[in-house]
Amino acid sequence: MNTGQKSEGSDWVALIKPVADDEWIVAHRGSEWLGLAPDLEEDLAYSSINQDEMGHAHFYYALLAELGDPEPERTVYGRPPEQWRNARILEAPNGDWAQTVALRYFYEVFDDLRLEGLSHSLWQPLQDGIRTIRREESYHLQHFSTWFDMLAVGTPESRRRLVNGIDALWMNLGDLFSWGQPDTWLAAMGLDNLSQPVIKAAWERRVGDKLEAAGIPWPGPVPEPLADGRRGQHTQDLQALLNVMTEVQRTDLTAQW
Amino acid sequence: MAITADRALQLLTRVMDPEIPALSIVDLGMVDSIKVDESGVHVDLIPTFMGCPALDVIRQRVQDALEDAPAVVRFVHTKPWTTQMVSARGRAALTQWGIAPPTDSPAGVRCPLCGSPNTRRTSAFGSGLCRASFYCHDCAQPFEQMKSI
Repeated sequence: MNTGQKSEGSDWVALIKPVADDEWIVAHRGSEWLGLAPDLEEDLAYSSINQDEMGHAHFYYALLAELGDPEPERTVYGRPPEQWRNARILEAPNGDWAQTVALRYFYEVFDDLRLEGLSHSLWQPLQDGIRTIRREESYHLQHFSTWFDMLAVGTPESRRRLVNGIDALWMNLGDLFSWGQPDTWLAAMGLDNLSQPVIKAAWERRVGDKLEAAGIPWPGPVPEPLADGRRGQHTQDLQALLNVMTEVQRTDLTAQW
Repeated sequence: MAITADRALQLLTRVMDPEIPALSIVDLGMVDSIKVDESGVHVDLIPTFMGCPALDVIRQRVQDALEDAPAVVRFVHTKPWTTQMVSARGRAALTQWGIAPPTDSPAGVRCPLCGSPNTRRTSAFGSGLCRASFYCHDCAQPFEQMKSI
């Protein structure tokens, strides 16, 4: 495999795995809303969005398989929690719809910045996929940006719930921006824009503008994480999620689906 | 008998999108290249949406359509699929099937049922990854559009 640069396969794995796991886990939690979203249009929209995310995750897992990881199915169904690299906030059980909107808006802004950074990676197959993924993701960001605004100005109840959702999430967003690696590692790959301080500052600027426009007070900088999902440090919630996710598959490990 | 690339392309016009049976994968713009060598036919397809659940079915249908020729079907990402790749025949087939063809803007999308431009997009999402939802104010019917991407 020619990665086009001096970066090792293991560097690409460390770069791609957190992205893949974020997309998969956020989609799984998202799929739990199926049939429960506020209206039929949203049920269709949110299930489409989560299906997109699973498709993106599958693309990344296929790249990881090229780099020597197991096949996507085994990577998804066969890993214990400590081998997952998703951010901890994404594995948490769903709150109410307003909290879900806040989480997905926060995540989609982050993902947008991350994809922009990844689009400068020097591995062609990754670059090619990112180009397609960004076309789909623009719909997701727009969707949750609209929902965020609607809830902010909708009714006192919708605004109260949105603000409560933001408060519940804010202290636990820290490891979203982590790579579980020293920043020098990204610099060596020419991807400084993805480093924790840079992407976090860019995220805080964009989210800060959104909150200001909605007249919602700025909760302050996102605190440093107490534990890091990017290093495999997860909550019990991830084990519970994996138990549900693998339940059918575990009934017959030899079945071909 | 050895198959030619032209013949293979002709056969692929019979492979329909499983979700839109009026539309062939050729008119959808999915066929990137067809190469024939002594080992068989190599078909490179451009996936539409990353998470499209129909891709495996399409791969199987391509292999079936190429009859006895051993076929290697790959999905490639070297260029992104866009709705501009849908052919004029594909757009007509979509309309006839009841789905509005993709446009640059959601304004003025014509209702595929009555032809009216007096429509409104009700959601950027629909019953499949590639659909957006619309409503026609003239015939008072909901309809879907192949979403522009």
